[in-house]
Amino acid sequence: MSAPRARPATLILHIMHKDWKLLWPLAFACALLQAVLAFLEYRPESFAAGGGSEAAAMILSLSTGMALVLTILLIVLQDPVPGVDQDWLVRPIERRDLLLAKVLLVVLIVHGPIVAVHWLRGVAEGLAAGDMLRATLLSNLQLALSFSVPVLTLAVLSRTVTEALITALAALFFVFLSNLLLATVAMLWTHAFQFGGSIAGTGLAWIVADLHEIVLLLTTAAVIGLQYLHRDTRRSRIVLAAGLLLFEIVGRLPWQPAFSWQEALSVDPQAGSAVTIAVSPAAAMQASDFALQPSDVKARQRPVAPRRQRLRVGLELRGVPPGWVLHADQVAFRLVDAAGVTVYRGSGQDWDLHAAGDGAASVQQIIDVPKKVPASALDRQVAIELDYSLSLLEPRVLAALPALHGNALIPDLGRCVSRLDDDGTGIQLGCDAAGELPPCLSVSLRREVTEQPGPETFVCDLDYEPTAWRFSVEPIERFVRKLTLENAAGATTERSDAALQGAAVVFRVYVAMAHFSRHVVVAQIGAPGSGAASSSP
Amino acid sequence: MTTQGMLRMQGVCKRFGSHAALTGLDLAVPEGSAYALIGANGAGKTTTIKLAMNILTPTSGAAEILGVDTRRLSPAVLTQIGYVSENQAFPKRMRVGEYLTYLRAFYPTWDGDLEASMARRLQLPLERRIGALSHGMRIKVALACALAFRPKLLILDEPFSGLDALVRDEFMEDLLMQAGEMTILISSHELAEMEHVATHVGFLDAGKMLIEDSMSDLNARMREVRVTLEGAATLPERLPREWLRARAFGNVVSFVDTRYAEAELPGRIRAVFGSVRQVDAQALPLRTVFTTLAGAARDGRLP
Repeated sequence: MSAPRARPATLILHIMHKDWKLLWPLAFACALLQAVLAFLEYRPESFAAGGGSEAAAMILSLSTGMALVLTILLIVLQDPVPGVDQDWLVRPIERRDLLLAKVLLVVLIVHGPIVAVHWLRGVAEGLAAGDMLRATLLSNLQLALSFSVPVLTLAVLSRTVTEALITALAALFFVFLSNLLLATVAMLWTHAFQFGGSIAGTGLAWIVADLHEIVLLLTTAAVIGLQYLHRDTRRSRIVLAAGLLLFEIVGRLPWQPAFSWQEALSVDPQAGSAVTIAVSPAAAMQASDFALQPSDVKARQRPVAPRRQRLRVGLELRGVPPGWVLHADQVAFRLVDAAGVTVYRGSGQDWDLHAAGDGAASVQQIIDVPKKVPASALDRQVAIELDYSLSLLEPRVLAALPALHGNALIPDLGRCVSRLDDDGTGIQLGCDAAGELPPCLSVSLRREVTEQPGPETFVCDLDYEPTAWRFSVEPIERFVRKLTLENAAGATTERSDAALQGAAVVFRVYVAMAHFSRHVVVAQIGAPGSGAASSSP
Repeated sequence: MTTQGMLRMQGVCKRFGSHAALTGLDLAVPEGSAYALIGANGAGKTTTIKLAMNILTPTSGAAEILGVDTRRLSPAVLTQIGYVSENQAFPKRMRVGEYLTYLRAFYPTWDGDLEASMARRLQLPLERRIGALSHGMRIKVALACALAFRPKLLILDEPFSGLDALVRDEFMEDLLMQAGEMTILISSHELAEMEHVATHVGFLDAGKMLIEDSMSDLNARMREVRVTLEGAATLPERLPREWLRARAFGNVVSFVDTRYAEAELPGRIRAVFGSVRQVDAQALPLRTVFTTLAGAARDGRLP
């Protein structure tokens, strides 16, 4: 009578043990690289330099990435899936067990050391062990989805490392080609050649990123499943190509459906209901210098392109709660002639409004159009239709940190420290957070407890993704800022430690509460004396 | 399809793109037999075996191994099938001993003593990496890996290819020593080695089974016949269809009779040639059987 077969768990461990015996030197090399990299990135406090130069860290980071790719490929290629000559095909090995063994070994060899060194680094930097563990596990999950699983997919489609690299190059070329094709097709509608789609770089980019992850996950799961359970490499390659094409198509998600979804996810949809926008010839004709992202100010001040003409529309806004920020995520405009025919469509410059007092403010809307369009439009008495996609951000005070020698764990921000800089002209701030920092926050100096804080310095990279869904590949996010000391006239001044005793840095986080749309019509810009919009050469 | 026999195929077709490797193959390997699957290069022997092992899936038709549809071959069934192939790709970086140890866990019937004795007899270098072994030594390792769990069915795909005479002999000796009740399916175009082992034979040509029979029946009904006539020999225009490779030289006519019956032969010869001086009928070596049938198949003259 034959003995019973070993239990699946035992066989899975047995396969893992076999691969481990072959790959342990590589696994140790990867772990060592991870540890050295963590040491280079380790900073005992926010302002300290890392353990090595940035160039060394970058080279090491690349080497580690390549070593990890090689490790994942070799784990799978110990028992390649495509082909008809592999010995494991004729052995009583459940394909499901083989797949599980490979996945578990990737988790153990690739992700195990990363979790360990990231967690140790975070704890050594003074972050809470529990927070750090959560952040490390989440960042590893993200790393698995965006790195390990795709590499695993390449491996299951290949017989050798060389074949896997060729497959990767072919996939990249296919992605580039399909992106080029889609961008060209999209240009017919948008008049702009964009590689990344209209959502890239906005607070809605997370929608595309999440859709990309879903497409990637479904595609890789389908390919890995097809390969291990049916060993159908031809069909798997077709599925991969279809997945990559869908990946690119998803990247071109039109603005409107994405923003509609964002509207539906508003934390407080009523918050924006009082906001009105009206055309106001009397509104300020100077572009605002307030922006959540400092680079936007420079972009707004950039001169108009040679073949374009700039139109400025004065707008009066009401109903923005005091202290809140109104951000124009997208300004779509159409030039419409008297017959209702669209002469031209494009995007205007976005803007930010930091409301004060009664919540009324004026902004200047800038739109650039090709020179030839207004010339013909003037003859036809065109109107401008502006479609605003807006987000309202509420400020919430997180904490106040002593401006001098502050060192505290602040919820959401992690360990924050402060000090007077060497020349006494500013407060240096640094925060190390386990996981992601809030996407939009501000810092301001309050000289006395009884005083109102001074002007805010914003650090924003807008991301409207619900907090619970948000996690990144980086287990520790760092934030370093200098808060310049200014006098009443706005000039930089020098201070001493004594002058700043009792002063504190106030951290505020700006949370997107509502997303909504507004439609504004500027009638007959070509009509003499309309005044609602002016053009400049 | 019935489940009799260790391996059965019925109307199996396999296409690779526009190329048809098998075109309606019927095959039955009886239990306890040593079945020689014979065919020229490209006849479809390896494809047949890979279909049997579920390494490839048939385009159409039905195939069963140990009573199970080959497309649903479970690990439990695979614990009863040993497999050796000239192209078998082992993990090159593993040592021979490590690999035997690795495989042991998958087979409940693995016999450690048998493994040890085979390793001794075949002089397997247990400490060497598989990638560093010669082709012949790899085939020996494959044989040890295929026999150590005492399979019910042993499948050998071109096992002699590239082996020198000494290794072939060692291989066959060890194989026969362990054969016992085992059913063996062996594919090869090395016919001399098969001759003394095979109990059944299947001739595969261009993806089709030409003839499938037991060796004893085949030997009984196929003879090379030499007829010495009274005068100069000439071949008549029409010869019985079952007479193949007919040739005339001097006063002798020779042919291969594929439906040999000792009692009837003189009468059949007389009906064609009239009176004859002498008739000799000799058993054919497997090689001649194969070449005769393959030639007839190519000319469309298969009886």
